[in-house]
Amino acid sequence: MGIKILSVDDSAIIRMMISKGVKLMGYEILEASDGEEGLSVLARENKEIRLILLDWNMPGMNGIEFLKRIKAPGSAYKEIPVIMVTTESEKTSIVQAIQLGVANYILKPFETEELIKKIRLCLGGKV
Amino acid sequence: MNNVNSSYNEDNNEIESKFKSIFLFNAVHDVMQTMAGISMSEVKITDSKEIHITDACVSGVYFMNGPKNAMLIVSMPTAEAYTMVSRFSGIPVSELGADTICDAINELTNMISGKIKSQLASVGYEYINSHCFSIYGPKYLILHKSKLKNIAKKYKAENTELVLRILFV
Repeated sequence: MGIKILSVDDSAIIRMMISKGVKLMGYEILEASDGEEGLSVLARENKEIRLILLDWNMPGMNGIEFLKRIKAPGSAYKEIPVIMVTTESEKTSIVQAIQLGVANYILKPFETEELIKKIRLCLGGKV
Repeated sequence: MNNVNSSYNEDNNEIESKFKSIFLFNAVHDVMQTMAGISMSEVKITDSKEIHITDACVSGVYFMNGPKNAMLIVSMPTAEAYTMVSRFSGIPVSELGADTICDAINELTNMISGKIKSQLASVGYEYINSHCFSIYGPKYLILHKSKLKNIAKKYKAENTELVLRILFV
């Protein structure tokens, strides 16, 4: 069974760029445009998702709210690694995301090579 | 009362000078280089009228809320925006629609404002950015009160130009 990666970002163009990189790696990409849609995809896929690429600033449920929900005690998705893909580059933001359990951090703008490298790092040993 | 006004003006001038001293060029250059492989140079402006893009253009607008509220506007001629988006998305120009162009200019503005916000935070000025909106159409003007303080910059590459404006609101 192929590896499924979920991209949660309100920008269609960013989801397209992420999708391009993920497909280059031979993985399947699933997309959501905000946190609520992301939670629906997670529920629908029933623990099949191996990695989440998450934007911070989104209308509706933002990345941090989504992160708090999936990393909450008792959450079925707690073990899925999350990479933040965001323009939030201040130290306080990065620390907040790490404290909430993100596995890695990609700053926008990014190059496909960097995305691929960090995805590999997060899935390391599991692929 | 005079002391209060004087202190207010000094604070405002200090923040405006911080905006002016940060590397706006680096923010634009890094984003365009990474996203589209386009290397832009700053064009020296001698007349403020030169700052307008005369053809149809698409603009991304962000409100930056902080010690002195500002509005960041990034504008590009529409045809050049299509070419640039095609370069970084890999989608042929003929398959791109206005929605995708607006989304891309929003994201470009988001990245530029993110870099500016980060530079301001490093000198002690914390800002929060709003969600972006875009303006798209054959002919429009973005007008503001003439006394409103602003920073305007123009950047060019071989086939692309971009105008960045920061209005202090």
